[in-house]
Amino acid sequence: MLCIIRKHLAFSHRRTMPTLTIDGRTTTASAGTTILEAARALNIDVPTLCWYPKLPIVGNCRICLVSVSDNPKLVPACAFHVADGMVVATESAAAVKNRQSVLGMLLERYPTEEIPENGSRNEFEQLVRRYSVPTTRRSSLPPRTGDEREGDPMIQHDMSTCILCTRCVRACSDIQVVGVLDVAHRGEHAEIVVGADGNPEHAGCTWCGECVRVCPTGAIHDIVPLAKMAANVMDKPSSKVRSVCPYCGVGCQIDLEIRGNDLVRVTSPWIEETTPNDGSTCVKGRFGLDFVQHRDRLAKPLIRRGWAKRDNRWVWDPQESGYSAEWGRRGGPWKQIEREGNTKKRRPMFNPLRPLQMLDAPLGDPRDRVATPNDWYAPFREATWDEALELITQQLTHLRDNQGPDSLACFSSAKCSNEENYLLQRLFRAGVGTNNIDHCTRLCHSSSVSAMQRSMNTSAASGSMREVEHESDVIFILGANTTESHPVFGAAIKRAQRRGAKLIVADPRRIELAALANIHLQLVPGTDVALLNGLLNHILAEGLEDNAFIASRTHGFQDVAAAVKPYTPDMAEGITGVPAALIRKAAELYARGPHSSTLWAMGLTQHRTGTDIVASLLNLVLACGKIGRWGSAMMPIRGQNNVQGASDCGAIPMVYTDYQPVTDPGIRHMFAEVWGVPDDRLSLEPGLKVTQIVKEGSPVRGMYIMGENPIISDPDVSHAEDWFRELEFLAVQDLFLTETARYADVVLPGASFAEKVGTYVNTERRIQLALKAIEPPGEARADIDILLDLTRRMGVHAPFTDAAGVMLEIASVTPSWRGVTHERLGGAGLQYPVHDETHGGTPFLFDGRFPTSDGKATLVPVDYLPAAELPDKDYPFFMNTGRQLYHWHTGTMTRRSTGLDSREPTPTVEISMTDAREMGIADGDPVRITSRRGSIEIAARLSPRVARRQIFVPMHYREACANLLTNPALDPYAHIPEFKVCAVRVAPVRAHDAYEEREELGGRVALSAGDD
Amino acid sequence: MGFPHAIHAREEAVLSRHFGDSNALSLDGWKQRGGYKALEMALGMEPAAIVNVLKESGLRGRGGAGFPTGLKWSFMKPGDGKPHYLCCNADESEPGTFKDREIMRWTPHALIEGCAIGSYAIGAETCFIYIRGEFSEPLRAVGNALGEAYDAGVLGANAMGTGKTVNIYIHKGAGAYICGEETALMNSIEGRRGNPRIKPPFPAVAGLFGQPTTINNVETLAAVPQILVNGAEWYKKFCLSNPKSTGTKLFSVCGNIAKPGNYEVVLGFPFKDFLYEMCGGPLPGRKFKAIVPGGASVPIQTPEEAEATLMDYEGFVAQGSMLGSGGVIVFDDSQCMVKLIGRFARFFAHESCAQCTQCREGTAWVTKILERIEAGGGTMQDLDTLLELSENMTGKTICVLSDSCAAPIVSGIKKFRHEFEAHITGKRCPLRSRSVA
Repeated sequence: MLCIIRKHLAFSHRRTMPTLTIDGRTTTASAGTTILEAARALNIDVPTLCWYPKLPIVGNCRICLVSVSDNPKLVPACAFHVADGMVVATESAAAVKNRQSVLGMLLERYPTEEIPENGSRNEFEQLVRRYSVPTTRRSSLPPRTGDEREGDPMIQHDMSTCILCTRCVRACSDIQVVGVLDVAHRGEHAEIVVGADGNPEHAGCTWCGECVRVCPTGAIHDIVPLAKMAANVMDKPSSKVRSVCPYCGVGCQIDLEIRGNDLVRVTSPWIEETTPNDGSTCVKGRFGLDFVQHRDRLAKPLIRRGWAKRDNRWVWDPQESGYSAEWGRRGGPWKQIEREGNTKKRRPMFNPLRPLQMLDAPLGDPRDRVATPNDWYAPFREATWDEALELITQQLTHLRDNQGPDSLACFSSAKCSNEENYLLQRLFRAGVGTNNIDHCTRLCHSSSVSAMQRSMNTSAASGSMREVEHESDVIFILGANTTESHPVFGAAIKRAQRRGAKLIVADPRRIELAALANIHLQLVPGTDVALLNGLLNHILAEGLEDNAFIASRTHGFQDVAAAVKPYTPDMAEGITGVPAALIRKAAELYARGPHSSTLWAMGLTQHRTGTDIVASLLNLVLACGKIGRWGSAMMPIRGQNNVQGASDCGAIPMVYTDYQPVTDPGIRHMFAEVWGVPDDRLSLEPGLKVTQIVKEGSPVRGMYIMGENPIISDPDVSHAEDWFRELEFLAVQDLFLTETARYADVVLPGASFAEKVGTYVNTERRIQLALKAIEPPGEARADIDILLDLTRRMGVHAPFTDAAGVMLEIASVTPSWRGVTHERLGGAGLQYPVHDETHGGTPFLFDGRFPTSDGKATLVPVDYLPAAELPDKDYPFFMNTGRQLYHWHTGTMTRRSTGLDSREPTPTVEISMTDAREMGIADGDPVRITSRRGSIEIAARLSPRVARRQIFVPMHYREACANLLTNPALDPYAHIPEFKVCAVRVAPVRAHDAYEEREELGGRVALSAGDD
Repeated sequence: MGFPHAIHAREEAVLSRHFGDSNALSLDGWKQRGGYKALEMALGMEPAAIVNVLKESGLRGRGGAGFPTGLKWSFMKPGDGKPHYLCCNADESEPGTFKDREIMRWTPHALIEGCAIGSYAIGAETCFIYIRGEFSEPLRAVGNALGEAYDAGVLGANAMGTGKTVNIYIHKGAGAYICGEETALMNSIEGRRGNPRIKPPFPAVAGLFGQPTTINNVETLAAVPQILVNGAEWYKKFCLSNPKSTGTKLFSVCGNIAKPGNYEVVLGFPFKDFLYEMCGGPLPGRKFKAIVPGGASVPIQTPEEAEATLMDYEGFVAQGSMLGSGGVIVFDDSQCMVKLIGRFARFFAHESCAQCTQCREGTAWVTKILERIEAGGGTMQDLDTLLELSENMTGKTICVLSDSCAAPIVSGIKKFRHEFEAHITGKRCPLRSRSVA
């Protein structure tokens, strides 16, 4: 309703359309537009310095002053509104004289000697040239100063070129809503400062680089490690290629600047272009892509040395020269993850957290800090592509024929493109004949998908990020640390709050958004169902539910109403620890909306009751009717750049593309026809899921893994690692020799996102095209080529030559992608469903009906069930796991990024101040965390964000792998493990001797003997 | 801060009548002197009627710009559904100006009463008095008076038992001249850096916290109660020259003059009589060289110009300057004009908020040049540069600080060019003894 009123007001506002003349051209502009906007619409270039699109107008540079009829003074074009009959002269003599004076004054404190003769290096110098301002200085004013960021590995300042336009200040506070930069002092002493003491860390800097983007002089600029990013060409990219950031699910578009075959810099699209990110990036997108040129990149296929080709056939021969018997069938000279977690960690010489660790030589190449250890390569020899693919084909065929198709499985990848995921599942379904295809969605949003499928037959977000930012009145965020895991979206949420939207955050940790929120529901981990049922209980008690919506659009409301009956706010308080008054307040705020959006992520899904939790949330959404309207988005926030697309393209065991069940013979027939195989080659049995494959007693004997690293990401890693060691055959296709790849028989070097063409689906169902910028290193091949080659070797017809061709086939078998072609994906891409070649995509879904048989959604009653493992006397702490801002997933990419790894070089555990004090733990101290499954040593980070008796361990580190500790208890529907809750104990590591003793006793055996 | 001088026979003590009377500081004392009758009266009137009285009286803003107060108040549209605010600008920091200080020191209740009436008249329930941070004694006096007023129920949710709400808060400044600029003052109250805002929108549309706001000077508001009690006609009669300039005005006088201090005269009073008769003329053996009549921001007058001036808004303009804040700074022939103008420029350079290029860079640059000339290192070219910079600094910036810096320079070079040239050709200050040079 409000939205309608707003639109109406905007419309009536626009009815008076002033007509004005700018430089002799007559134009009509809506009232409230500025002269600058009107001039830009006419392509009249009024010079600006402090003005930047979408930033608040401050009008301080005074360069855009123009002459306006009847006004004796010049007026600022950026801030002065148009009026009827106005006559504007943008280049009048007075205006030009003023511009020359402004530029001249700025040049007085600018290093004019560095301006190239007759040339210019930046926006400011371009204006100096445009207005022919002499670059000789006349005053003896000192050069400008400001806070420098000496030694900063990502952002550098050269404040002598600052012109105090304050774009950076506004970008920081109004786009990213961080507020690190400001102007300090007055008059000639004014300068840009970083926080109060010049330390960006203290000021809460997130290194997003928004300041770099907006700076008109390069006073704030980015730095890329020279050795990695091609020293001699850093400033001179030869071309720019549009791509999509390979990290989280926001799907930010980025521009890769290249020179030769080097990626020399990452910039972002112009702010006025329509991109999901409005041209913003976070630290990972802008500074975290140097992994692409890391020397660890695999450049040739690797084959385990024990394999030899005898009589035209590959055979395993441990006696083969170069292979050590110590390695066994599938090992090498390395520590298992469990042992690494237990390695004695010297207390870091510096405090790993504060002060900020700056690099000694920012222009050097400190990449050696984290790299593949040399001896990991020992069990492998370099091979030709032909050898490698031949061996894989032989072993896949062998296992298929001898042990049946279901003895094979593949992990596809949420980091790979739609086309690659489609090809891999096509290869395994058509070539091997199994549905054992899964990827890491199993470990993230599988429970959301199962709950959403059950309730409304959908598996993606109903709305768009844009509508959350601009239209929602209430934003309810559950279990999503958006500002760290999806920073660009997090900033949009903060902007929404500034606009006036109310924020409700449910999270056990007081994360940044929780601290900002209007209501923070700080619940005990794993008690989400009780909280959500409590919210719904109060909404029903107050009669705030949307009865019309319930009646016309849903089934099963009565059952749910009965099920939530016992969950009064007081009862919910007893379970969740959230004060009943807060529950009531949040319930009323959410239900009254009127436009409430619902966002959630891993905090809800990674539980053994994940499906129930999401179902109880969907009950709340449906009972309040907060879906199917612009401004009321239901949005599971996707964690990886293509986790949505990989699922859409059928890389999950139960369904083909577009969630068409494998059990339906009619659908099977359709796919068999397209793929050119007999119907019975395609299995009607749903395949195994990740957590069923990697499990003692699973029938899988051979695996093909594309771009995943389950040895770090699976729960209870020590068992997972043992399971992989026992496989008969393992092939891995990846960029690096990962923790998983080191156990492989064959390792295939793939191409990074920058080295191939592909499409990716972001969290709002937006299919976007990333273009190829550079060639893969050495003999590495685009993954699509590898898969096509393998498909043909497995005897399956593959009539494609490139990704665009694959997309045509995907569109032909995927009803909701019907009109999608690479040609149509320029610009902002397309939000599916796309019904045909002319349909423009669907920004939000379920306006009027749900895609169920009768068009109605179903509410499913759920009851609260506690987490599988709760703290007790022996293991008194809740352990939570998740992501940090500077790292991503298993760290394969981010830990090889100089800037990112220098910000967060050490695995740390967040522990509450009180607990730490009680145990005598100081910030940075090594502590030992032990669960029933394993134990790690890690540095303590005293944090006000975690509640007492709760700890948070990031998942990214091999040397302190959180998943050694996590509980493999599974959700019965989605088979997602309970990453978010397990019971641990925490102890300071006081003397290193004590620990060495323990290590002598031999890892887990000794520990568990003591524990159980 | 001492006691004020005895009232001169030709002064018209409306605001300054109780200066020096410490009994007037208390609520009771103030009531005995007729205080709070106006507020009582006002709260019984329609707000529009109060505004009309002020329009009728001809009262103009005493902070410097001289905008008609009644007209300003009438910009606040009643019933627009938004909270309205009144700000009282007590950030008196214009060099040479110290009249508001005395009002707050001696008659804080006059200010509070004026604020309360103003708030009610513009439909505001909240008023902020923004007091300059260095004003410790005025701060104490107004603070005490405010406490008394609240305790006595004069202010608050039920002001004087009428059921109307008037709340007044004191906001202490932190020593920035620019926060006396109305929009910078609002930023400062909001907790932001004290940068002036772009206008439009004007405060009456979007001021404090983005809401309609009126901002008045201390002297303006302090005059309101008496106007209300005595009527517009009474006030209008205070006029010796131009009928557009009515009422009395406090002038702060300082510098090389026999009797500095605050003097309240009816607008239109002859400046010559003011300087020579009321303030005692120059010090023995000296004669006036230059007069800055309205605080450091206005053009400098020569004694001849000053003596021909009638002291009202139009009178000062007619003689090449402005009434400004009424801070009269007098220089005699012992002073070096280059040094004085340099000092003014340095003040503005120091106080520039640093937003606008012309102001940030220009004020610093002209200061450098002026100091160089004063030290004997200037060139004739410098004078052209000064005039060129001053022109570029005038009328191009968000607020008028930059213009204020330029005004004394332009008028100084125009009227005292020979002194600048003497510095340049003699390569030293002619007024300074040889040994120092």
